[in-house]
Amino acid sequence: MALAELETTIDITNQPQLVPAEQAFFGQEARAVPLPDLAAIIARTQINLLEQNRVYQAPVKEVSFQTGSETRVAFQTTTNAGKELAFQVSQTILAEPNLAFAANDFLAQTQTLPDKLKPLAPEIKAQLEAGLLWLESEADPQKFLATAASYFQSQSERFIIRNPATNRLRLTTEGKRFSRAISCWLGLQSENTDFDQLAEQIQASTGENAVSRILRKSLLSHLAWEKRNALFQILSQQPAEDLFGRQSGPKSEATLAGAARFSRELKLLISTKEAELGREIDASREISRFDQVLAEEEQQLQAQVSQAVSKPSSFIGRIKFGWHQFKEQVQKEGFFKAATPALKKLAYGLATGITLSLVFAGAGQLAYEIYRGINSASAEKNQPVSRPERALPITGRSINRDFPGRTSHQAIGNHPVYTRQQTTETQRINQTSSLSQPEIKNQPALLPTPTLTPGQEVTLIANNKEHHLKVSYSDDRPLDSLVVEGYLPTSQPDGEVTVLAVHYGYENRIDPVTNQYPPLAGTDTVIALTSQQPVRLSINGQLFDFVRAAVEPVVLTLEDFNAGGYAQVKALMTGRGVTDLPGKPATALRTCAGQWLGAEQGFSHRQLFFGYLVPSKGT
Amino acid sequence: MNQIKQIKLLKMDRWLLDQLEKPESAASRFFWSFLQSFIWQNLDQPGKNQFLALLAGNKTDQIMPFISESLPGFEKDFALALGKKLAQIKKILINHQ
Repeated sequence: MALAELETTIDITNQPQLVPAEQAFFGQEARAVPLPDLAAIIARTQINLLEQNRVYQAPVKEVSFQTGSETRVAFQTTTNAGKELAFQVSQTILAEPNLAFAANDFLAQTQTLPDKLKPLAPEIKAQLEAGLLWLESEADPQKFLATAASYFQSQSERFIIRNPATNRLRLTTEGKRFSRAISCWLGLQSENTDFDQLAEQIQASTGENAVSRILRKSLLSHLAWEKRNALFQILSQQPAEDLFGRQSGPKSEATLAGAARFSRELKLLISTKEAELGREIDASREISRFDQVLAEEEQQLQAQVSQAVSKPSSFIGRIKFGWHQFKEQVQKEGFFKAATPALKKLAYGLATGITLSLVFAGAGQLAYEIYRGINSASAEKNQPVSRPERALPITGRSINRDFPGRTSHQAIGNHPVYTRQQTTETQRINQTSSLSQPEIKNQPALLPTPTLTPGQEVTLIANNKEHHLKVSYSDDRPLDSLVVEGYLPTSQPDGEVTVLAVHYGYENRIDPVTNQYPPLAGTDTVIALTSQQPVRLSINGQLFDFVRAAVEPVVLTLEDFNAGGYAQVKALMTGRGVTDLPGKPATALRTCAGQWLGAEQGFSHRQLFFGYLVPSKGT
Repeated sequence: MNQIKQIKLLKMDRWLLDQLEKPESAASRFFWSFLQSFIWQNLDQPGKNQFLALLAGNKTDQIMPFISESLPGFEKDFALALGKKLAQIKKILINHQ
């Protein structure tokens, strides 16, 4: 706010009897008073009057500053409190204690604080003080934050109370009011947000205490999510380029601290958002399932590695022992206090990864490739014939994904005991077709299929009838796998399926907007279909057969869905023989993690066919 | 994504960070398995041999220097892969209901 030189004038409108007083000001020597100073004087005056029980309401909002050509300040007030305030301020500004100004008239009208309002006086005073803090520090953000923090700490009992039921701290009404005042200030700053500077200011002004948390709450509540994430990175003092280890060595301790700070900020952010929503979000169910999924993933990964090094049990035992020792060595000082700088960076990388997952909620191509590779490995372990994988480039490096699918008779490397004995077939393929598509045993070849675009018409042929579907969502990846999803009435769980949706693709094709698996057709598609009937798709005149990954469909009940969710679906799929295929993870099973469509229509059984599209041999 | 989902995701992150401190938690075991698998997949054949030799010889203090030397940019790639993997799991779970 610009500083203004004021020709102080008291303009008491709507009060004819005070005109003489106003006139008394004319002719007085004008004095230059910076506007923020004037506001501060007003606030202090209000507080003084309040302490004397003389004025019970002298809100600043009744005082407006007019800084036009006349450059004057006008007290537009009709209350006695306002009049008293105007008088007191004028005395302060003009330093004329004996100013005529109809002083007697003014003071005669001054009221003392009514008894019934006296209990409110401390609160009013606190508000005024808060306003004063703001005014005094307006031109100095650093000072403002420091002063506000100090003030808040001194008033913490008034601003923060503990909820005995939840044992959580929360802001009182007064605290919220004060917080809003801070937020206003921060809001001004965020117009041209310099997060570096802002973070430095906050860190310099506050410590890790309640004041800091409140101030940061105020800040965070006024920032968009993406800006919060940016702020977290700045708070961790790790520019984005450093997060990826481009600078090594000396940064390791800092990154460690950054990870810890990230964790704290995360906790704060959760509570902030919960407070905004006014309730505590229970994520325990998801977390419980998360635990379960992680355990399953761990088993799969262990199985991969174990199979890849299928060797005499004594050697396996030594490897396992060595890995165990390695883990213990790293974990000895706690997970985030790894013994080597590399692991410290690695630990921080974990936090970084999580941050990235927040910032970039959608899975990128790199993650897709990695994930596909991992799932390919999972599937290949069941393939008896060794073959090369497509090399997946990561940061310009070729990655050897040779280990999946290694059979027990294959040894590794040039070790006298573990010399790798490649099969003739493997050698041949390696020499001739290092980038060839994986061959799927007992499965039709998976050839490229057309790319779909939203709105494009696709014809689904089932039961000798054509059903014209419109693609409701698509991306730039080929259509190569399908899930035909339908619902069965309770009375006829083995009868015809009413197909309500046809999905396609991998799990990371989940529509980022709707968070739903991309349906090829909408849920209003009603097609009678039994489990044995062939299904074809016609796309741009080209026919594709839907080859089921398992003969029998997966039937899921609403109870299954509610009880076990994803894990239950996965178990059912495995029981039906639906497994991942190389390069084609049966992630369609994740489709079931969607909403229980069809419930409203009275369907209690859900039938799912998982399969793949292959060029049709028919006509 | 609505705010509740965002909070649930954040709570998962918070929970995950806590769980990683516990050696026997599913999250911790997953992390080590993921690390093991990731190292294995990224090493070439001679590297795999050497990695196994280090493990079998219980030369654990040489593992990380070996990985850093053999796989430049390993931390970045691993962090990205792990973060994305977890993000995928979380997204699936969070959309479950």
